[in-house]
Amino acid sequence: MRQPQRVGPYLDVIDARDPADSLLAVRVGVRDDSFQQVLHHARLTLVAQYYGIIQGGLMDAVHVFRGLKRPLLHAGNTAADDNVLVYCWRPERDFYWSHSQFKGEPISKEPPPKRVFAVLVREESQPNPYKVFGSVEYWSWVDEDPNLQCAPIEHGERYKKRLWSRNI
Amino acid sequence: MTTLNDLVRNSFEGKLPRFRPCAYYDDRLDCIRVVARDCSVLETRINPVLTVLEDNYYDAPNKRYIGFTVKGARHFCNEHGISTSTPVDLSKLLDAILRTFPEPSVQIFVNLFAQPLVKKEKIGKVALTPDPVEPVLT
Repeated sequence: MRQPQRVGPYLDVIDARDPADSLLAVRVGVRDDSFQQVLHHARLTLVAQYYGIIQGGLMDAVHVFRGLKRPLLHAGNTAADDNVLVYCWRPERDFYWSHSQFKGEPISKEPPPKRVFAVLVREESQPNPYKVFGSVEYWSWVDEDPNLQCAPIEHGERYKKRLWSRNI
Repeated sequence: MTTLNDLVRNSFEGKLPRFRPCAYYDDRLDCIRVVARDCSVLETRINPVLTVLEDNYYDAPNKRYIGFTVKGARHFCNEHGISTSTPVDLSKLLDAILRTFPEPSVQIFVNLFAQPLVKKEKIGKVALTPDPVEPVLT
């Protein structure tokens, strides 16, 4: 874990595997406006999961999918779902924020079995002046596909295309 | 050494806000997120439009489900003649989803969980516009 490294409109920039080639890396960033929405609604667990799981763990992704199989209208683009990449893996730890009355704190916990972590990254229009490939938009746990380790259940119904998978 | 506790607290400039049940529009992913409790979430897909949120570590059956997501919300509203120029009534949006998706899983989810949650948490309307950026501090 480290302090966020601000670059332009991005609160933090981290490495991710290149959707075109899992052996290469690209830079992805968390946009200020996306993160501010998380902060605005006091979703402290999402903040803890960003720093605890994603910041140092996105390179551990085992699968990358492209395209959400659901309507997504963004900035007038009715096909904005095509620009979303989904990185999936099974982190060793989960984090949540304990909302105790006097002393809230992050709690590290072994995730429940047969769960995978999915991070949605929106591909930025290129060329990007900050050399950022995509923006980290959202993250959560989903059930694991019984036939494909580290992939979300029903990935064929959720996502349009599997770009690559890594042997682990 | 930077700890996770420091990083989270620094995100809020040291003044941790109190979580309140909320509904908000995620403009960049075109979805409405309804969240009754801040916790580690398991997302379970009901259909292309609805996802139910479960607490990964619930300690009682009545604490299992903590919210839901309406995906493609603006797209759905546009297709079904629901105006987004003013805040969208969540209960009416759920009724439109019920009419559009007659499958039992959607009927059960909306009638037994989503509508009661919206009423219980007094979540009325959601503006399909990006949120203001200032954090709510207590």
